[in-house]
Amino acid sequence: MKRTNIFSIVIWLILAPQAVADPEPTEVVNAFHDALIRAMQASSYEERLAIVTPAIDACFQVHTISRISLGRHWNTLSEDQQDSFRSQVAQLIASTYSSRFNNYNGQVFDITGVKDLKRQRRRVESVLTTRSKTVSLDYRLQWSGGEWRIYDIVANGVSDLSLKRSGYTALFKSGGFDAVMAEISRDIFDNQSDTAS
Amino acid sequence: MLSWPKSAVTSSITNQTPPANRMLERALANWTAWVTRHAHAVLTLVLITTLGAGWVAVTRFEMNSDTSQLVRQDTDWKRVHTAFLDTFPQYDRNTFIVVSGEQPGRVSRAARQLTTNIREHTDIFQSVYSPAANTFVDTYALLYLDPEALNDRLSRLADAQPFLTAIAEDNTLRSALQLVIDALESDEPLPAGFVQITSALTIAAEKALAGSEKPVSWYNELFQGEEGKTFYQVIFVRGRPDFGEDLPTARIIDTLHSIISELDDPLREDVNIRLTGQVPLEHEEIVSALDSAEFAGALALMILIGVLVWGVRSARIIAATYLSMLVGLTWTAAFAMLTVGQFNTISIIFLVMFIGLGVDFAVHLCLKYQEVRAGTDKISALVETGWKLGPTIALCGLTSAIGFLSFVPTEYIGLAEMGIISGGGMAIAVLVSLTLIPAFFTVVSDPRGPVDLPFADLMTNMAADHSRATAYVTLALAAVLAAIASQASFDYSTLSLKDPESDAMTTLRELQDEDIITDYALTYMAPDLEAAARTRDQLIGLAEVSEVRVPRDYLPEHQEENLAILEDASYFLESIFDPVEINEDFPDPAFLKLLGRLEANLGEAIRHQADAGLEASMQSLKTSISALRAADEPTRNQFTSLIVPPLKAEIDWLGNALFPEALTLEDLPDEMMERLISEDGRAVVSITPAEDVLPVEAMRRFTEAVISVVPEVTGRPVLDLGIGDIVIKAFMTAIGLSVVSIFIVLMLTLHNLVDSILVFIPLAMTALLTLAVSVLIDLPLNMANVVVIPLIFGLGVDNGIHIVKRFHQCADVNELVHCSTPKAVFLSNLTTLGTFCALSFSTHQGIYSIGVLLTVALTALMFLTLVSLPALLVTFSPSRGSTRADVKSGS
Repeated sequence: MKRTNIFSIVIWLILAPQAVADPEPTEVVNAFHDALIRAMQASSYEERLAIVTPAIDACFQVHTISRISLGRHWNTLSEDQQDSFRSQVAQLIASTYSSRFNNYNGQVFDITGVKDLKRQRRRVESVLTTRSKTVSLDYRLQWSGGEWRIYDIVANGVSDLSLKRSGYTALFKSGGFDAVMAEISRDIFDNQSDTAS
Repeated sequence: MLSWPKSAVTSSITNQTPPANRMLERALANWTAWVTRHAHAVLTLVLITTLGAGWVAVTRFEMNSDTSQLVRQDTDWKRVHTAFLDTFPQYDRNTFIVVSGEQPGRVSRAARQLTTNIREHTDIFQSVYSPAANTFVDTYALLYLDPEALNDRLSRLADAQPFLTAIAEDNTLRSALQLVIDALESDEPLPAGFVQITSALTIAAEKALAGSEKPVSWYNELFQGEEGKTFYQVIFVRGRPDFGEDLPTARIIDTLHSIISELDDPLREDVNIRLTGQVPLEHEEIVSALDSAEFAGALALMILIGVLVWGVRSARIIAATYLSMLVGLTWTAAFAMLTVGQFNTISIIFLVMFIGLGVDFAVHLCLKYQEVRAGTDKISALVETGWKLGPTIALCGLTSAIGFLSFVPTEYIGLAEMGIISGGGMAIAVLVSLTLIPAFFTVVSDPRGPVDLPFADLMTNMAADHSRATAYVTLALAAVLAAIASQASFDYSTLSLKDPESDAMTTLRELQDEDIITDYALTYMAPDLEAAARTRDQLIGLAEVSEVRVPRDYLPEHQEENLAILEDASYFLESIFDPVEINEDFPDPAFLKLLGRLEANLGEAIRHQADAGLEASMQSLKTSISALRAADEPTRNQFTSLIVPPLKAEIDWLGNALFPEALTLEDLPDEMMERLISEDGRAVVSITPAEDVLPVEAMRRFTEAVISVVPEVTGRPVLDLGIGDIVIKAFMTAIGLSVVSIFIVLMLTLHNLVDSILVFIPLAMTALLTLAVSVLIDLPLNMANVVVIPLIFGLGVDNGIHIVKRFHQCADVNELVHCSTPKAVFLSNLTTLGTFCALSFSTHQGIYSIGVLLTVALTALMFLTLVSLPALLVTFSPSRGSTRADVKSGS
């Protein structure tokens, strides 16, 4: 074990200069914030969705979010089911932001700090200031495939990933995979119709 | 009705002095005459001796109840067991403190507090092993869960994440209250963890309003799903050896009881704390044996009075018999301490038995004196009583002692000790009655004359009128009894003597039912870990074995899977442990304002709530919040302090438990490792049976199967079987010894083989009947009551000798059944029966079963001697003077 540690330190020393050149997690969060600002300025849900969807694809680690929100049930799914669940989750995230961030009113995102988490994970703390209130947005990112990707957003202390895990595992237990998929479809539909009105 | 035969009285007048050639009789006559001449001096001497004996008996009193010491175990399995305990003394002489309750957090907390308090008494306890008090258990608790359960638990934590984060990020309740308000104001559906938050807030508010100091446990609220389940924490305590006390275990038990009763914790009432394990079990057994002996003794003394008043009706005779019994009892107790040096839980009951047995000789002497006194002067009557009855009394003393002494040459030390005490006791009884009775009646006036015993002669008439039928029915009955008696079984459990309803026993059973301890597991000491693993592979294939645990099995079974699950959980739970901290004041006016908003929001939400459960929980929170708003500031501060600090502490614990490192054997706590691997590397292998091993056949199958693979195995099955086999062997030896010795005594006194055999028939039948009853009422033989069968021969033979001797003196069977002997036999049997019956009211299972079986035996003996034996004699005895035809015609 000791030998490996020394070895990894040597590797790190060699690779360290290149690491500086790697993208910073703040860049990912900034890119996402930019997308949200642009979405808020757009006029229709479809337009907003067209802006947000590629941002989610680029900034979020949808695989991790999908896997963890199902807990042990994830391993019971076939590959096809996992694929369709992943794309369903991606759609849900996109539709959620497209429906919530629907009105630009001078909102400002500020990044207030970056902290290391364990195992190649980091958090980026930010604040969303609207006219009436401030919301703390705590982004959690993991280093994956040479880039930082968001796997959880903790808004005012409430973790989105926890909410998904809590809701989906309970649903899976009572109604199985189909119940979870139906619930997500319903949520996507609700998001669409909320703003359509 | 029975009347006193005048012939017996007149015949005794004709020869007042013994023939010159009878040495024993002459000695007895001289002794009695000497006693009557120095009656006052003798009585004074007896008094002084008795006071001295009483002092010895009380000051030297000692009790040993270590059941393992009751049997001499010079065997291989005992050496294996000793070697195991030498290597792992942690397993020897333990006390388990069992803390249980429905809320795991409270159980652990009480266990930790108790551990701290016990550890302060270093003078009494040498080691305390408390898994609950070790941070290891807290840190690695989740790693030991079943993956499915862990996954569920983590999902519940996901429910609670917003609330826990709100508590973690703030030192006040502001964030938590704001969270509830946000959830109620939002148009999103309420999150899954909402009910947990409202119920935690409601409980804390109710407690604060009631002035309670019990903190809220979020963990308990969250995992209440396992409802009705009891959680256990066991603390293993070993006391320091403490020799030289009456009750060797009392100091440990008393200290533990006072520590438990002084446990000062607001959560104390939510947990149940009990003691079990070897030391409390033994302690309870001694206490129960002493209590039983005390109670049975008091009862026996009362029964004795009753029998004597009913049968004798003379205050002086009753006083004389009582006095002689009490003196004998005191001497015997002193004798026991001076010879054996201690009582055990079985030998202690001889003190009770003595009340019935010791009194017999005095009764016989008094009745005889009463009979003889009618025809002669006081001193002559006393002397004549002495030499005429003395030999019989000595003989009775001898035969009874034989019954008791039959265990002395066996490996069963417990009953051997009882044999020595009882043998001495019988000798003392003979000496005391032959001394005290004549001395007593020399100085006091004569007793009232003899009265008729209100005794139906129906029983005796059966023998007289239907002797042949009675004889054959007796023999037929014997055959039936033998068939049933052959089913008799022995209870191999070394716990069989303990009161099954006692605290220690019920707790032990509960722990076994819950699989917390496996009392019937076998233990093998492998030379090293590799050998342990090999042994496990060999044993696990056996059909008789369900599980084999080696030290490595104490690591989490699903470690890798659980580590992966926990790693995933860190993605969504991490935010609880590194919150964006809020350090703002939360003054009471702001607190009140927020409570007001919460109450208003709750009111609004209740109006629109469709879910009845949710509505109810909102309603009770609203009621509490409204009361809090009306209460004073300290109550609201108490509300905060009942939630925030305890929940923060639980969150800290969770932070450790959620992210453990992989465990290796070296990581196990020292105190746990010491119980698994010895300093020189030997490893404990624990083997659990596949089937219930309470039936002895199953226990033997399991043990032999394991022994065929690893001969050097120990554990309760080995000890139970080993000790049980020794006891059964001792039992057989004792029966053989008592049968042979009694037969020799019979041949020497009766000088006739047929008569000896005839006397033997009721004894053998009583033994068979007692065994048959033990089968029919499901009271198997055990380590204590095996004493009963050899005893039957010793105690029963006296009656037979009396009857046979009288049979050959009487003209016919009618005279036999109507003379004084059956009355004396009946009366003395009744006193014995009464005291033995008193034993059957004991809580101590050994004493109880001895009481029940001896009561059955004595009743049978009485009936068989008074009815069957005369019938058998009439039918089969050839040495009778008159012919059978004479008997039948009654001439």
